[in-house]
Amino acid sequence: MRDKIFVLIIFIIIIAIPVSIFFRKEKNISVTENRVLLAKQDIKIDRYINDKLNTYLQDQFIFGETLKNIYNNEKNKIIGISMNFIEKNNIMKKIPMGKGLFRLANSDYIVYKDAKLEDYKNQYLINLNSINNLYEKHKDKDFFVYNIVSDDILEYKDEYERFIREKLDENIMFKSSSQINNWEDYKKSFYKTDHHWSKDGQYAGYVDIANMMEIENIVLVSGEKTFDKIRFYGSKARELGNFGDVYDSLVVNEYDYPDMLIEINRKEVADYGDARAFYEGKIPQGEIGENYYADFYGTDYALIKITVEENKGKENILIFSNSYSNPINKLIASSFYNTYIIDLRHWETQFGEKFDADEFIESQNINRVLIIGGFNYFKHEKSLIK
Amino acid sequence: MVFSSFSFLFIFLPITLILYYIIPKKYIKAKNIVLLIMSLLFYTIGEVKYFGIMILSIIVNYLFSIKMNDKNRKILLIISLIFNLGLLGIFKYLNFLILTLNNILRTNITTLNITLPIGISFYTFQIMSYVIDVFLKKVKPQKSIINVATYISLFPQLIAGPIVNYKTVENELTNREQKVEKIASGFRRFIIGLAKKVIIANNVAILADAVFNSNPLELGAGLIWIGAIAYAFQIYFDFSGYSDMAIGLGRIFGFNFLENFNYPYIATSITDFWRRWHISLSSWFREYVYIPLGGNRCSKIKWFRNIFIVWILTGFWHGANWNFIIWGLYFAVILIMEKMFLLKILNKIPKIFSHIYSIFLILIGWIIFRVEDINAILQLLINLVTFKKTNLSTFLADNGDVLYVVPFFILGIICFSPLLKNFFKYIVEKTNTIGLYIRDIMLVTIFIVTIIFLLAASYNPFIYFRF
Repeated sequence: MRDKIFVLIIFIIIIAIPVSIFFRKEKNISVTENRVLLAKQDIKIDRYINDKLNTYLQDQFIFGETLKNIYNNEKNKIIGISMNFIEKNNIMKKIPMGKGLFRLANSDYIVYKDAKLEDYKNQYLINLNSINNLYEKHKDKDFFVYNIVSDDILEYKDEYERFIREKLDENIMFKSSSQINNWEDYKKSFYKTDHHWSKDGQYAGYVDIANMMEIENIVLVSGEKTFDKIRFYGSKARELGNFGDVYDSLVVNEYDYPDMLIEINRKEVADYGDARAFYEGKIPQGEIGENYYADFYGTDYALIKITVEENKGKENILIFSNSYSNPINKLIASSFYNTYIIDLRHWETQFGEKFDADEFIESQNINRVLIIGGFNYFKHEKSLIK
Repeated sequence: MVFSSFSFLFIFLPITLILYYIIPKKYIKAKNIVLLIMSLLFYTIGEVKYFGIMILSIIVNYLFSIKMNDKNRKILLIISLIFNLGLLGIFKYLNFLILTLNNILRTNITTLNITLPIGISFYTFQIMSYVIDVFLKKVKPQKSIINVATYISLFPQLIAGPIVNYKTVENELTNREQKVEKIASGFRRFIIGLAKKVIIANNVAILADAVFNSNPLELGAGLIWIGAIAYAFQIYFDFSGYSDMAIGLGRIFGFNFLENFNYPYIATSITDFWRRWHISLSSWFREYVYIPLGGNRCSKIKWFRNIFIVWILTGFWHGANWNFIIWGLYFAVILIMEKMFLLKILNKIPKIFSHIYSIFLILIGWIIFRVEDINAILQLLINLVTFKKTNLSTFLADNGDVLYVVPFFILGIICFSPLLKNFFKYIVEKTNTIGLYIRDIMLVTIFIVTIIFLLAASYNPFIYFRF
């Protein structure tokens, strides 16, 4: 009898699971993993059928996302125990959490591994030369480069700054994050669980850039808002699957922007980012793994154009950047007539053609070119401006 | 397809069970056909292009064995061995031979663009054991090609063993038990094997890989030993786990395969270790190579020759690379020394020292086995001998994931010996039926936990943000 019950239970498990998967409504997206899940229609009878069946069953597993979160939380607790030991014994300043991520000792901040300049010199050089080449062809424009100092290069900040300044054309204005000089500064300017600037870091970065470009009438902070119910598990937490007690609050600065006409990928939109939906309480709060940073400030697009009519007659600026500039695009745009923000990673996919920097600068009457980037920008081949 | 995958657990296995068990037990031929079709499907899903090789092997060897008579048996055996070893040679060893010739003779022969068919080492040896046994008249040739094909392609042991002698399953091919007790026992064994592989092996592998994928020049002695132990656990729990699953699945379908592992890390000598590790392979080499060569019933020189031949072949069987041959030779030398005098010494000293002696040599062996580059092996051994210091901070900075491995490492230490099994056996004896129910509840729990581990391994966040 016991054997019969045992066999029956095992049989029920191996039948119930696929039946529950095949006959329930499919999930399209995993919020925590930030990817599209495989559906039945994606499975074809070909040489990859086994892999696809596996992925399908895993993606559509009942309570799959919840179970993965529980597993990852427990895994991170186990790592946490080892980390506490390392921390107590002062073995390391950055305590490994796995996947190239670390916890800054005696804090909750998740940080990247230190990136030694010597390992990335070649990549940096290629990128900086592409900027120099562009400047060579447009010497009548003002060029600016802003280097964001973050957790990966903080230990080598001076080296990176010297290197970039040395390799950039001397006529290109260059500045590096002036407010980030040590780990205490870092904590004030960055999220605990995300690689982006927090609200204070965003504003300090904007002020740095504005000062570098000698912008008059810097936009001032008019207020602050905290979205109490939001637990922002940033990119680093999502990579680790760490959805436990360490998260960021969503606290934002408020500004009085001038009226702006905004186009995203050449289509007019009401706004960049969805701040209004947050204020109106329309954004579902408490979603584990939701990228609230992108939701609030705006996500990455090939081309964003911001026009401030009241600045007609003022200069036009072209900004090359990535997601770091998302919270400050409108701040910078407040001082220009037309502001173009280009994320080169998405240009070709969006417009089906390679980006032609020379043509763009001339056709859009660009007066200033600004490059905003950190370690991952300058070391990446997709940053090359051609 | 592998046993530790969702497609096997939740699609292939339930379908096979239903198809197999809806057929009444008296229709054994029909059941064999189901097993054959499902086994070929199991193989094809993983290896579409080499399905033909499998079918060819089955047909050719069936014909060789069925056509054997007193006049032609020798020639048919030779042709069969050439065919089987030829296939193995082409797919597994030809490129190694080409590369070796290029190195020695400074030629520039292009290697072939061929991949190793999954399981070819296992099923080739299995086929050869059948043909040889027919030749030696130890078994009668199986007249039904379905039965031969079922024996050769049976999915529980097709891709990773154990190597099943035809004698073991000869009767079961035509007459199998179909009892619930056996099916339950099979599932229990399967679950234990699955847990060993998914929970222990897959996790300690993180540590082993972190160590052995690092630059050998930078590895300290302490870290190398830890990596070796981690790899020892990985390979044991992976391989024995897979064997457990194979034996369990065999039992579910009415077959009784022989044990393939017997707690090898409690061995008191290397001789003892090889009686406990991959038993089906060492038995195969003993029966079909060592004994025909004369075994130990010959002069000492021939005896040593026989040992060297068997162990070079054993090493070579594991992989087409020089480190595997060196690994085989390494054990050949130790085994000879044990047979000559060491075993006598080991039998006299306290068991703890013979355990330490065995573990030490086994771990060195695993380093040679794991690290395919000869220069890297030498460097690691030098680091061990010179007690090179370990820079733990640098290692952890590059391999933070290993911090997660600690509890699985501890689990490995608990499970590598029969202590846990004996403990549960004792509890069951003391508590009778209650203990058996508790055991089953634990096994169901372990099964569910293992499924969660498999699910969690698919966590794959898309992080576009890194830029």
